[in-house]
Amino acid sequence: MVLLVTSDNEQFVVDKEVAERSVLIKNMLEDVGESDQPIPLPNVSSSVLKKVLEYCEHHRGEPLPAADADASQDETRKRTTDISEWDQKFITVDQEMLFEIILAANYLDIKPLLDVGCKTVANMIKGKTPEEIRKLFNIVNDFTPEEEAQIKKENEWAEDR
Amino acid sequence: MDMPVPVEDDTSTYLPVSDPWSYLSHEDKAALKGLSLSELQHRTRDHINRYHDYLVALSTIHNAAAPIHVRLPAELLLNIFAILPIEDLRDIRVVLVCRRWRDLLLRTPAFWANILAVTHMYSDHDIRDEFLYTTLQRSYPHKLKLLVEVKFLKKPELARHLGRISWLYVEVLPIARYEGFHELLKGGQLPALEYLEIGMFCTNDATFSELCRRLRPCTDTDLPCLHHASVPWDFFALLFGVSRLRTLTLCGSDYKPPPPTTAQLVNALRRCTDLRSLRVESFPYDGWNEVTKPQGEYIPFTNLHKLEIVVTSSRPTLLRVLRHLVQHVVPPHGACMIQLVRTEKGYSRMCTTMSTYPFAEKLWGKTRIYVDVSRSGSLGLTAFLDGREVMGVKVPLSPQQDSDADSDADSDADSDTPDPQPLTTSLTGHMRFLMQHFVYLQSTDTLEFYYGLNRSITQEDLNLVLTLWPSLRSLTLRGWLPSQFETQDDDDGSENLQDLFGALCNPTQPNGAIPCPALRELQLICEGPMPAGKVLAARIATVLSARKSMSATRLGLFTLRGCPNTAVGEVSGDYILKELSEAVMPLRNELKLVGAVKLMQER
Repeated sequence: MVLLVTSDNEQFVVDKEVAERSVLIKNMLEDVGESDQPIPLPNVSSSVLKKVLEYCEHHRGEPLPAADADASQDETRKRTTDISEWDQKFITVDQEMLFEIILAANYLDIKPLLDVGCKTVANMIKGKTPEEIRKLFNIVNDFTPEEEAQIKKENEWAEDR
Repeated sequence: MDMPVPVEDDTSTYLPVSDPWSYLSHEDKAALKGLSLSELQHRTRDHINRYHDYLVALSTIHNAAAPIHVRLPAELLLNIFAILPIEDLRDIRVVLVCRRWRDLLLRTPAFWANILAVTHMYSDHDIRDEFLYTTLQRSYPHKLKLLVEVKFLKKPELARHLGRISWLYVEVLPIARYEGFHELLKGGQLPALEYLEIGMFCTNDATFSELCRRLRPCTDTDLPCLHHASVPWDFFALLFGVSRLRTLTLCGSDYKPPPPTTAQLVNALRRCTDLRSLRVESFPYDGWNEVTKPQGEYIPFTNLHKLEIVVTSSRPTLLRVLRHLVQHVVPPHGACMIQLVRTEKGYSRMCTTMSTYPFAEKLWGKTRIYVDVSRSGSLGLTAFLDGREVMGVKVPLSPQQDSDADSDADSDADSDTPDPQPLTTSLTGHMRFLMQHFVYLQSTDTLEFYYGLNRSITQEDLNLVLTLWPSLRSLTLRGWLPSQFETQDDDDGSENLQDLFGALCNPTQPNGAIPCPALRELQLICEGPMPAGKVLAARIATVLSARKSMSATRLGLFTLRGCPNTAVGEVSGDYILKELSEAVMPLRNELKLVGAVKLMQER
């Protein structure tokens, strides 16, 4: 078992196999060897770690993407925006939590979870107009009218098709 | 000027605000008071410019506080933009969201490469040079996927980027332009090319014949990364030196170059030892006598898992060719899947030409057949051997083609019979044909029918199945139970043997034997509303007891799965359960009910 301590000082006791879905934790465990020392995770809050561990638990035992995976394979994996049914359900959370999960997956180096998060955001953007995207992410148009006209002119040909 | 300038009368609706003066601060109002009209315009113009800057500043601050920008660092947003699904060119408008997004997108080569991948370049109207130039620059150094007419590859804008093309669909029109393309291939200018698809439209056979005589075929050295190709079969002669192909499609062509000989083609195919998928839509018809047998212990394509054969009536002799192909190039082995795709009428001819097909032999293993008749006017049949898909047939049938096919396959077909009768007769034709030519299908003991929600399976369908496979041990019917339960409902339901279940207990043999005496497992998976409980219960009981009366035909497992709460009729779900329970309780040891249907132990 591994003891993980979050930024808000909550402790999680986790199976080594589950914790090692995170390459960061796996490397830390390899570095310190057999030890009961808790592993501090100062960049992850307890609510986010709980979600991340739920993911790791569900996918325990699955093969991890090899560190030296060939680049084209890696690209194919990332480019397909299909997400499995369980993962989709898992990642149906509010935006704040979604971004926190992505951030945590990046920090903890859990590539499959990072992919799921990024694909989810990409799918949210897909097919929407700029105004719809702005509304979705609470962004406003900050181009000057001249800049906007210039960009529209650049894309005019493509957009008119 | 003492009074504010009147902007419109009270009834106007075109103004965005009803009283613009009321929006100004006291200071601004005072500053504008008493100005001449030209001074007023000059001063307000100054204010507008100032407020534009102010607006941009406010917007920037607002956007910097947006959660997506606060939480996700640039590196992660770049990741997201790189996998953004691009469906058409209009998706480029995402650059208009805000400054930060535009800035990041300009640093995401994959996004621009994906934009190029949906930009078809077939004619001059399809793309502007400036757009092509800019987008290519922005996509650097990402790999490129392009769909182009061959002349676009000669564009100066593209010249510097050829080495990045990994996926290419090229249309050759007119054929005289092919030579230039071949120079690119042969000259090693497309070193990253992994996928090549060529579409040819020949208007001058003589020109192409001449080209074929003159050009030297490409080799692995010219195209070191080429693993996937889809080309007209005679064009394949120009790729004869390429041996690292993993997937290959040989399609038909309408021109007449001096064809490579059959022996040359076969040898070229044999060299592609890493082939995993081969689809043949066309091949030369004769010249097979010159094909030499391979030397020594020839193990063809050990990785090949899919052999697709496309049969159309326009190429009726293809099947004869395929027999040779399978004998000389891809001897059958268990790992190979044959797919026959019938696209037009021509089924009976297919029957005769397939008669000596090498797959007409016994394959060992447990065979399961999955039949999909759920889509109106089409049939899908997939055979599994030990859980592995070994053969698939997809037959699109329009009503007209359907009745044509029937007349080929089954002379007793009645074209006036209402739906779903045509399906039944058509099934007869297809299944008899397949079993005749794929002998291992005859020993099938597990059959699964998916008939969906669009049609009900009829007693006739079931009779047909039971007759075709008398040794069936397991039968699964998945879909909507037939509506005839509703219309033919008599009082107790027990005597009506004309429905679906009737097929399972009516003696079909002269000696009064029950069909499929070896049937041990019957699964009925109801996906739509279930029939009224008492009717269903009575039918189940009839089947079970009829088969039980002869010990050899006793059903070991009867599975009924469905949702009784959506039952048709007036009875409630509880009532159905009760009736069902009463009817089948005596048989509970051999009846397995799954899902929402439960056997009640107590009343």
